[in-house]
Amino acid sequence: MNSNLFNSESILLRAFEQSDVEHLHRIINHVDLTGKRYIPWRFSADVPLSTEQVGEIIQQWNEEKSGFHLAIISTTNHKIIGHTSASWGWDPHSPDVSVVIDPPHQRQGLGSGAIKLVINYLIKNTPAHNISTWVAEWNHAGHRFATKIGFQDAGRMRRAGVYNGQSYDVILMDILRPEWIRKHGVDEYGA
Amino acid sequence: MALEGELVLLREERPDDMPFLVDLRNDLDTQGWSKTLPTDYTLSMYMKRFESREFSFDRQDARFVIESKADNSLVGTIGYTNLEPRIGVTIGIAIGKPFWGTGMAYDAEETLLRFLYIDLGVRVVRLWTHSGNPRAVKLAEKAGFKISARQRESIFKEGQLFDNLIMDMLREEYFERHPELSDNLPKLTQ
Repeated sequence: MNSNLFNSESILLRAFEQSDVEHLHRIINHVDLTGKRYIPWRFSADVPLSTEQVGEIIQQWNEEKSGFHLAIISTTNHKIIGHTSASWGWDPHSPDVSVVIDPPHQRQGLGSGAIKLVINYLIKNTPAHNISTWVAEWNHAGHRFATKIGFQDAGRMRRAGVYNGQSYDVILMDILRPEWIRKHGVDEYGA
Repeated sequence: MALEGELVLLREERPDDMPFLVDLRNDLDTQGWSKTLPTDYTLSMYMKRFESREFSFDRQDARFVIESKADNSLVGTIGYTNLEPRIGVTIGIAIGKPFWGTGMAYDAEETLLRFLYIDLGVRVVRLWTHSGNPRAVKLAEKAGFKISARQRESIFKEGQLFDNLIMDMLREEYFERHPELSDNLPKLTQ
């Protein structure tokens, strides 16, 4: 039962191991992921990180009690091609999700596949009702991606940070359980 | 000197304040979030919470007791979390019911905002509330906040679904409301 919750034809999601550190280190430091690494807040979003720091990130992800943070593995070459998460703090009614794909593997539907597995899990196995995510306003590709999946703008956190010489807003987005089911069904993928 | 408004002082917590803070926490009407329930907090918990605060110059949060200037009565609590120095901060406030409608909440909020913009030099102040708390929304709007995000049906409380509301006020919006103050923090290029 539920054996396919974290698998699709092209990807599978699994927990990070400390042995993934070098691979993840290379992905996180990729210049195209500057400011959109989706790593814990205490680590820089844009300064190069050491393997030791990435090791701490993996440890923190694996200690997450109210959510999960998983590696996205390509079923073609069995390598890590990104990371994805769901986190709900105290309230599983309103989790937030994220997905990051290693730039050379973007635009192949893998991010979309990963986030669908994560949200499908939330819909099937948790009481999630409002599922949210966020994207920096300068991350147009990220915003288009989330919109295409079905997220809609919920508003902004104005002046959330400084990027490229100016303040920027973070766009908050969300989708409700019935909206997701209407758009995607629950068993459209993964089974 | 404590932070001083027209009607209230914002000062540090003291051991004698703990019974008041327990009562405030154990009143369903002064709790904004399900997470803070159940209303069975004890004096012992609050004393431990109080004593667990350690000295540091690197703190990113603050908790003040709101005290009436007229008779030193305890009015409520106000503070901030998630301070990102020179960028932003999130504030929170809870007022004891006997002081609702007295203008003390507004005065406390204005006093804290002045501290945050003038002394700490942040560029945005945020707060979180929800659509089931029109009193908090009204207070925030009176102080100059606007709703910047509405996460639909993301709160369940008092038997109903509510929208989570994020409200914020930018630094220049604050100074527009306070022409008597001058803003000397360097502008980022826009």
